[in-house]
Amino acid sequence: MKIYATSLLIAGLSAGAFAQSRTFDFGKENLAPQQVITVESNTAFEDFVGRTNKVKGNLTVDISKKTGSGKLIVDLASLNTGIDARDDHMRSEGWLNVAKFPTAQFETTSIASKGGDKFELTGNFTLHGVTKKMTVQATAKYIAESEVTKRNRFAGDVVQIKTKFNITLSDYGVKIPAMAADKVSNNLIIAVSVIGTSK
Amino acid sequence: MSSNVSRRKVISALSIVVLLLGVVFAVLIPLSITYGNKAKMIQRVERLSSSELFGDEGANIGAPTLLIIEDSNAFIGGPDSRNVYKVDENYLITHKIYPVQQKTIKLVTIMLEIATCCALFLGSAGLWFAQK
Repeated sequence: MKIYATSLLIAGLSAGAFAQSRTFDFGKENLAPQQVITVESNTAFEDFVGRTNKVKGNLTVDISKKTGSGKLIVDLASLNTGIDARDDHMRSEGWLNVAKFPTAQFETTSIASKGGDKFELTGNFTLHGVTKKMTVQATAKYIAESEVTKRNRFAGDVVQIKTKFNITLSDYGVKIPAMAADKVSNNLIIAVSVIGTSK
Repeated sequence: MSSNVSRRKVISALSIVVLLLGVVFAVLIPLSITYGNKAKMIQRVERLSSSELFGDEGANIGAPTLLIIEDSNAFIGGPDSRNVYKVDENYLITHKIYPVQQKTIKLVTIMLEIATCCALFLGSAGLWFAQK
């Protein structure tokens, strides 16, 4: 299956194979179970992973030129770390303040192919009302609409984007309360695995 | 004179209780270490229906971490070349398994060691003072 997906991707990304641009939507309700956004914190005393599948956004790509633009918006209020009290603290005014800043988002300013299914995405990452320029490495896999995609209940062409990057909370004006400094890291690892469909 | 004697008796009794607590803590230390040694380097993986389509195993949930998971049904095969075991995230969620981190057990062990030293010292000092 991996060979099948890769060969389809290569075929799809080959020059001239798909001249027109395509727009993929990440926010369709039926895609929610496929979306995995995680936030990982590692400290000397405790590690934890928060996760959500509530995302919105889209990606428009010119497959022949391997360029495009896109935006991904993540609902921070739905972040779940497995402990309710910790989730409440993370959402509170002193931390992420999701009442005022309910989402985090990444909007690309450029997409550069790095060969095969590897891409370099440059864009603006916004968290807690602060926007910073960021460049991340990502993999993008594309599968054109087929009996296989339909059998897996995907509408239209399908794209899978995966990326992982680090952020420093203090850069975004998020201060970790002293009582939690040993349990929550100022440096978080964000991992994104999302599926978008063209219909 | 009698109040002095009764005070010494109370100190002796309390010291014995503290010493006994120290012994209990000391017994718990190797148990804690043994439990912590059950930890394996584990990568939690969420298997998605899109995984089959794209030929991958799914989405990794965090990085490999030393965790204690005793339910063997949660594991997806054996260890890889880096000795990392993959565990099915959906299974953990369905069965409400929240894996214990080795870090947490190590912290508990350190606290037990400190508590043991303190209890044995205070208990001994109390007994010595009461019998002086």
